[in-house]
Amino acid sequence: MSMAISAKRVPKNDRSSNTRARWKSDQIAAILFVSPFILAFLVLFLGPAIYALVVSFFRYAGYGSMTWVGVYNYFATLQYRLFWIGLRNTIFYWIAHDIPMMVFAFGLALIVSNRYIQFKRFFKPMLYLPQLVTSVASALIFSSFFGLEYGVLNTILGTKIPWLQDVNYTRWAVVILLIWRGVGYWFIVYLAGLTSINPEIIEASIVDGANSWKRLIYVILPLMTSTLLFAFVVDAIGSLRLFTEPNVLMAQRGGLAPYEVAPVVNVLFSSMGAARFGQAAAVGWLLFLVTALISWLQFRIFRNINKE
Amino acid sequence: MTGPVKITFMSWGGVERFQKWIDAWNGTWPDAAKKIVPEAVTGGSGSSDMFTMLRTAMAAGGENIPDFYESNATDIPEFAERGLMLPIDDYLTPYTDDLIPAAKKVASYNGHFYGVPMQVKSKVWWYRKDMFEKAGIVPDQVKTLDDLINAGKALKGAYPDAFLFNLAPKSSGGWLSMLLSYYDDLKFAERGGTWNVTTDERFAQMFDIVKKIYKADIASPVGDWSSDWSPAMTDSKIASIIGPSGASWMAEFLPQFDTVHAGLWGAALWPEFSREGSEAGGSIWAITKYSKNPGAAFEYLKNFHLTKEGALTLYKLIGFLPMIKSAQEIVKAEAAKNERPEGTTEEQWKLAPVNYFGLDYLDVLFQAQDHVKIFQYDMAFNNEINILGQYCNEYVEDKMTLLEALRSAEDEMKTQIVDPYKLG
Repeated sequence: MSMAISAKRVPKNDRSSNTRARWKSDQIAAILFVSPFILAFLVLFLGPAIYALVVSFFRYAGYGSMTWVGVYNYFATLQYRLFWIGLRNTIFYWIAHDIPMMVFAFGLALIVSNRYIQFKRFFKPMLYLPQLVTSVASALIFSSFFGLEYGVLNTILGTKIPWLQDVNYTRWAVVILLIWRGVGYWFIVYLAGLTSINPEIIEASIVDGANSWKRLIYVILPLMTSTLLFAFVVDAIGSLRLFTEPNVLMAQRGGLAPYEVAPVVNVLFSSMGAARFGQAAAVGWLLFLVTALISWLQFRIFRNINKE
Repeated sequence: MTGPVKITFMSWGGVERFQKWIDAWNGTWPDAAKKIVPEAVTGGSGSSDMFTMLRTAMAAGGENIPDFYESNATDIPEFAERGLMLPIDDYLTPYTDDLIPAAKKVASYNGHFYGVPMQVKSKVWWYRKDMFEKAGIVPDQVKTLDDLINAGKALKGAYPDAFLFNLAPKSSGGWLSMLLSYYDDLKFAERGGTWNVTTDERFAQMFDIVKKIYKADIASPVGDWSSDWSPAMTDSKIASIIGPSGASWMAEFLPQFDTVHAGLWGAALWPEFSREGSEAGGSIWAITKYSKNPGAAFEYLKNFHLTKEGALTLYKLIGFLPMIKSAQEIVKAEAAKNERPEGTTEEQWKLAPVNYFGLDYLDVLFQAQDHVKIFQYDMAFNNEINILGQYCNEYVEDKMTLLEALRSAEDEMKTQIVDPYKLG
């Protein structure tokens, strides 16, 4: 009421100039609020990324002079057997852990969000617990778990499965570790997504006679597409940068994992270790392109699902 | 009036690793400690982290580069060529008559001394005396590769569940790196970019040796440093350590891995077919060109590594063998005293190398130093050995012929490394 009265008393021109001033100050405030991020993004991400792009066209040890080599670092990387083996391994780790982990995490979130489930306060932190263990520590624990002669798993099963010796098994050991670590995190994300669904919509579907399965397929999943898209894209980006788990699980004498099971980031890491910053930068940019491509594909797939 | 000079040194691992060195410095040379104050700086969890840190510091102008740092022999070429290391001929030459030959080799590159020798990593075959005796294996009589394979079979005869040593699948690189140093003047490539992998038949010989070892079925598939390694030792499934961990420094680690068989492990020289050589040469303390106090840094290092007092201190502290000839007898005499240090429990004392391996292990270690040869490392050694190991694995698993494996390795080196005497 008082606002309306004051609006009447202020001439029209003054009002618009006040609005403009407020709009301007709001804009400045907004810029000030986002500026720390923008600054950090420019200094810590965009700047180094552009610098890395430049370096990728040079032969450079990280210090001293730089020698122009054109696209040779890209050519050498694409010719490098370990790059392709690493990329194949990384994509395997991503797909092999991503699908069962997401299904499992979503299933758990559905169960825990059910109103009839007791002890929710117990289940939520328990499921999230593996996330609190650092990736190095969990990989070390799993290396004992998967030991050949004296590993926990082989002792329980009474077997001698060479989990960490035979690459065909080793890959699965990494996948199991990734699922174990990741489920709790995505469970929480899905639970948050599920709780944001308006209960009235669910109730309406029940009134309309939808059984649990139909509710899941026709109501819950469509309403969760943005959460699912976020989960799949973020997990894919993280998975393509995978480094710690396979290397700690299978490293020998403080080194890196054997190349047959190594992720692609190892190529970048060993290039840097060998003072080949030009090639390391080229690997980084190639990896960025792969990540961008996979993310774009996921966006397209989810957009098509939404349209349907 | 000038105060004490502060010197900084860098190595990998936690700084607490070197706190006992600093304590020993203060305790053994109190007068010098008033003038020179050392400070340890960690370079990360491994040597690779430290070198990345040093490269970054060089790119930033060298402000944060320490006065000296620990360097493996494998890393000397890059940093000597690129000007991080200070040639210390003037400092070290007065002491060279007393230096053991292996120490001189490890500190030398291109005719100059680039550091104070810290440790020589000679080849040593660690074995279970009781198991070898029961199997009728006398290490000194194992001379050829066939002898080694026969010893493996003899051990299997006596202990059907055990292996002569361990060698994880696809681990050819470790053995190759030990074998490389056996040969004189072997190089991956010549300056100018001519590669030798397919033309020097010694590379083919090494591939054959590794393949023969794998195919002989005398090695457990347990990997060095894996979670299975220690239990396999305590369970007597592995009777000896030979290969990439068959080195002098294992004296420090073996008692931690197998606490059950103290007194039953012994040391021998490697079989003659690969007795000469070393595990990555050894390590040095390299004084940097950025050091503001190279004289003080050398003074500190000299006391530890080039005096009898220092050699004895390091032996007592961490079991390091002296780098100078004149201290060898003192160290042997100290070991022969077999006196349990104060504050050491009976259990800990059993694991001290002199008790764990028996006093004669020191003689073997000193002998092994006489057989040390150092491979001619270039700036791309780590890449080269990785590539060589990969293709040797392919040959071992019959996925490639010998020629294919060597040719693929050389092609990959040409594409990926281009010239190992140029960096970047």
